[in-house]
Amino acid sequence: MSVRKLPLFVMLALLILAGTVFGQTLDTVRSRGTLICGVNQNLPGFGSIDEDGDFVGFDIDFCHAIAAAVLGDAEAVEFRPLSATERFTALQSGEIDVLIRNSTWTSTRDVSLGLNWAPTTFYDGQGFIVRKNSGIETLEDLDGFNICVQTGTTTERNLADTMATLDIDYTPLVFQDTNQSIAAYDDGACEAFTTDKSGLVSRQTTLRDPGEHTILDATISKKPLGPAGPPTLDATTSKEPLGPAARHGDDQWYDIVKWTVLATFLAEEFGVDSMNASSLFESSESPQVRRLLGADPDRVSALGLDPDAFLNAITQVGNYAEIYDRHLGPDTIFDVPRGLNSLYLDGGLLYSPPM
Amino acid sequence: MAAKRPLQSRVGAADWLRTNLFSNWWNTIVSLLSIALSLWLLFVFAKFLFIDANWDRVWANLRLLTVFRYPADLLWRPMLVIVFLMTLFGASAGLSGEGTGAILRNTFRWLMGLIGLIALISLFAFPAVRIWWLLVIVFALGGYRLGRHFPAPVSRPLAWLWGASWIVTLLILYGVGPEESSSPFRLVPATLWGGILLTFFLSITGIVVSFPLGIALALGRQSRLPIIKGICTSFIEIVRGAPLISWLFIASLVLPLIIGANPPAIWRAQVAIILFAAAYLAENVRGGLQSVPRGQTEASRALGMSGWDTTRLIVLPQALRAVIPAIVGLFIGLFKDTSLVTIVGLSDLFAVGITVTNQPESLLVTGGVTREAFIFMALFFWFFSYRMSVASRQLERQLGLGER
Repeated sequence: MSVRKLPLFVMLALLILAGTVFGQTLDTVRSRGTLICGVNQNLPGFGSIDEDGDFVGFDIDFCHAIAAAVLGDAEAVEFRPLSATERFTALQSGEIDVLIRNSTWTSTRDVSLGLNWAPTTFYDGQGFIVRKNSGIETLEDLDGFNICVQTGTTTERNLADTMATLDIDYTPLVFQDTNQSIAAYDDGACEAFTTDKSGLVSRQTTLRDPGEHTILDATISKKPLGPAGPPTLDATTSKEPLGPAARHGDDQWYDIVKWTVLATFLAEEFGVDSMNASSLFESSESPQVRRLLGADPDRVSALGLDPDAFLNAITQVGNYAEIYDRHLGPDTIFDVPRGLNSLYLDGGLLYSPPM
Repeated sequence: MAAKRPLQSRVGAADWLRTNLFSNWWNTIVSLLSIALSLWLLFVFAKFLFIDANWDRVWANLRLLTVFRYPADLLWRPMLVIVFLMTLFGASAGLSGEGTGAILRNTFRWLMGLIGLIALISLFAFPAVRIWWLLVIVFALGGYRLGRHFPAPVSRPLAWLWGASWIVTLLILYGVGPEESSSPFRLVPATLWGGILLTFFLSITGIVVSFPLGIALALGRQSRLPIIKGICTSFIEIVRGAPLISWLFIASLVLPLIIGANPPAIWRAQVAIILFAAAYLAENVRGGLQSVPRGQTEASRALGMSGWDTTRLIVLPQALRAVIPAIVGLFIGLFKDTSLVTIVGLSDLFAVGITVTNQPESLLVTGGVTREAFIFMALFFWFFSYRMSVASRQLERQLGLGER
């Protein structure tokens, strides 16, 4: 850092500090009576606005769950739609209480931006959509072809990195947004379109013949990607763990966000759902369930919440499986397989520490 | 001596075609090709518009596109604003005389045509607001007649009402009383405003406020006091030195960190838009000021007018008249530039249009509804921008610009 730039950096650091030193978020939220949740309004399945002006989606439901836990009312949420660029500043400056906007947990964001990531609610990863009859089955098959990709995304960078590692020639066709890219792909401008798999699944329905296309994993390659990595599961391609983020400096609030998410995992694990939670609260003999629902109030109260916080969250919003199925499951147009987003019991990555 | 053949007449469509489009084989080929191309484009576009396009999603989302998340049971409030403003506009149009006043009446007539169309559609399709659209027509025409027949008693209160109209609009839209209540007058925070409502609000406020501010800046830049001149010049040059999008970012991201408070996003964006427009307007006005010959000022001072009166009555009217086309151009630009507020998380028409294309239901439509949504937005912006430029052209003609 040159000396000339020093004052600038000091000023920036001060600005960020000024933004992070805040009172207790829990008290603020309680006295305000609403939770302000930073969300996406343009990601179908995760966050969108329906015809009546209500926010709906997978991420949105976690906002509802936190509001139900903290305030006892899942509807006590004020949604703040944020663009990708302003989302982290909005959190730092205290404009929002929690950010649940399909934000990938990376070390830079976690450390340098002063954010704390709650457990991942959705494990995404990069994928490619190709025509079934094109014979493309691995990344090597894309040699010499056009690939549609969104500009300025981690996807674009991952694509370049992966293809360089594999020494594959391709022409990237960059677009501003997913709708444009998928339209170009459908018109035959490119042989493949790449973005997060959840995005591919949701856009497949807009294609003229959705059945004629198939989604490939970005990790499919005949050659090993890293020097020592196994041939098909390489760390450098694409890991996109999406989850809620809170700002540094308020550990109590971070714990609340974290344990609300974990409570939805635990509820699924224990078979607690929105229908049976109330009766289980009355009758369950299982100590784990009793602790989760606040029948034994110590654990929940220790977070600074009312004992029935997670009971409220689960009755009003549901456990993880309910949230998932409501927005991404087989009854929706997306029908995204649970895959990594299954409980560890089913071979997925959802694993909550004991409560 | 053989009789000469009569000269061919040079009138009629066929002759016009022959002379202009098919005068030789080369022109004939070019003409045929361009006619074929135009017809083909027209066909492709019409086919999409009337056959391939799926307007269901745009239609189903009309409320979202017009007022965004403004509560459904409070739609009467934006409608009341339209009634109020159209009544005032009607009265002003009725009052206006000939010349430049005719432009006001033209615009009024044109707006009434549009409102009539909307009223007709809502009569059948939108029972929630159809009474209100009829009220808009009744009150606007009532205002017109009032202004027409009683110009003297109407004009003074009208000026006051126009002056208060912005506050009244805000009051009606915001409401009073706690947000949680179910009262019809409850507070509706600006975060729920959006769509066409927000686009109009941001651009009209921007235009109205930036106008006097821009003139003040331009006069300040001409000032002989070094401090005022310095402040105005540096303000203008700094603001003009960066694109609007960066000022929006600064207003919405950096400002809250510096002042430690969070004014609502809509006001942060509005301030950025006003200051940006004012700086550009100031430069346009300066051009006008410099075009007024020095003799005008000297003559008016020689007649004993004060410096303020000279500026107000002699210099400014001539200066503004010279730059009307440029100012209208600026305002058309401003109207469209409001769609940049998408970037700071506000949901103007453009942002809502994008949101509509990203509803899960919209993804069930083959090809998505991006094209439909964009055509809708393009039509909206074109409609009003075109109308503004027509009014500006009429104004130029009325003022006799370019004829002296």
